[in-house]
Amino acid sequence: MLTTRKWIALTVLMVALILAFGVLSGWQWQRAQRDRVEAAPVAASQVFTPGAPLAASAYGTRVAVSGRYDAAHQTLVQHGDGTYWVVTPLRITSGEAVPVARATVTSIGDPAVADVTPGTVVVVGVAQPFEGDPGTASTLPAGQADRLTAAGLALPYAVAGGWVALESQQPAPVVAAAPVQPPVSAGSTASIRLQNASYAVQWLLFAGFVIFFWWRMLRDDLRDDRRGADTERPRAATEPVRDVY
Amino acid sequence: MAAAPTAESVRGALLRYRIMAFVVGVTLLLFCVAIVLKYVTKTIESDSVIAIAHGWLFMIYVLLGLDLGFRMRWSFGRLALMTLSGMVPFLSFYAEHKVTGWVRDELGTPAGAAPAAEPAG
Repeated sequence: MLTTRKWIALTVLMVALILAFGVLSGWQWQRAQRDRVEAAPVAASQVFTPGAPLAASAYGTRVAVSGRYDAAHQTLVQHGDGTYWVVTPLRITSGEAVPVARATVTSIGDPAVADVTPGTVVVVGVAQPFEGDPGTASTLPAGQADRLTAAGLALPYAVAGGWVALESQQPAPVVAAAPVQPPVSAGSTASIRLQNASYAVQWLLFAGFVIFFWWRMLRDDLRDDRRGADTERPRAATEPVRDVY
Repeated sequence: MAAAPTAESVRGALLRYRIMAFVVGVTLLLFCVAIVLKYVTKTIESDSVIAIAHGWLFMIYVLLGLDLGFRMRWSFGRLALMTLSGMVPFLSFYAEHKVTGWVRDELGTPAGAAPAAEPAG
């Protein structure tokens, strides 16, 4: 029997169930991805080859390197949106200096600019290639550049074939500054938990069941309607609970 | 009435449901054992194999239960009870017994005989 009120209620229930199952599916999918393991850092010397640009396969590699910051040769790399990257060369005991993009600041007077940690620091960050196009000659004041290139840093010593976007350092900086968002993000092994991924798929399928059974009920009801009132409830004696609908 | 349940159309659905109810009931008990072994005695590291198996089997169980329920034109409340009882250890076995009883009450027993519960007219 097709009654409007019943079908409005059923349809509302169907939509509510589908939404709920969708949310549950999304939640399980989130949980399935909670094992995202950050790649352990490797020694910078394994990534940066002296005299050669950073290999494409090493873009985004998390590296660890220890050395001393050379505050005198720090460069602010200007971006179109009015932010600067604070790039400080890290002198290491042997080999080329590694430029470290320490922070993102919105003005050159930001306290993070002068907050160069003295002494030996251990830097963990993400290896990045220099920007390919050196661009036109910079009209910016000394100590600033509009691109992060080896030439733009204008260092009086050998520089590695790429730079590092700082993630953490020991000892930690005094000023908490916004980090540099690396153009090539760090590799993380996205391990999916099968159990939760499986549940996520099942919730979606349950949502599909809801649609299927809703359609099946509608079909049955329409058929009953078409057959007329006399055949409507032939089994009234055996199905008292139908009125629960 | 197109979907009026007859012993003929329900027999297969009931058999499928009963088999699956048994399988899911057993799997659920194994899952419970695995949970105890993992979190209480810590003898196993992961229960995800049985968890995944139970998840998929339970889904099939729900599908078959709803199929049977729709063939029988049972109420929503009854369908919900059937579905939820599959989640409770041991209760699933009782629910299967109960559901089989309902079908036999409504369609007559043995399944295959003329539906005694459906008077002519």
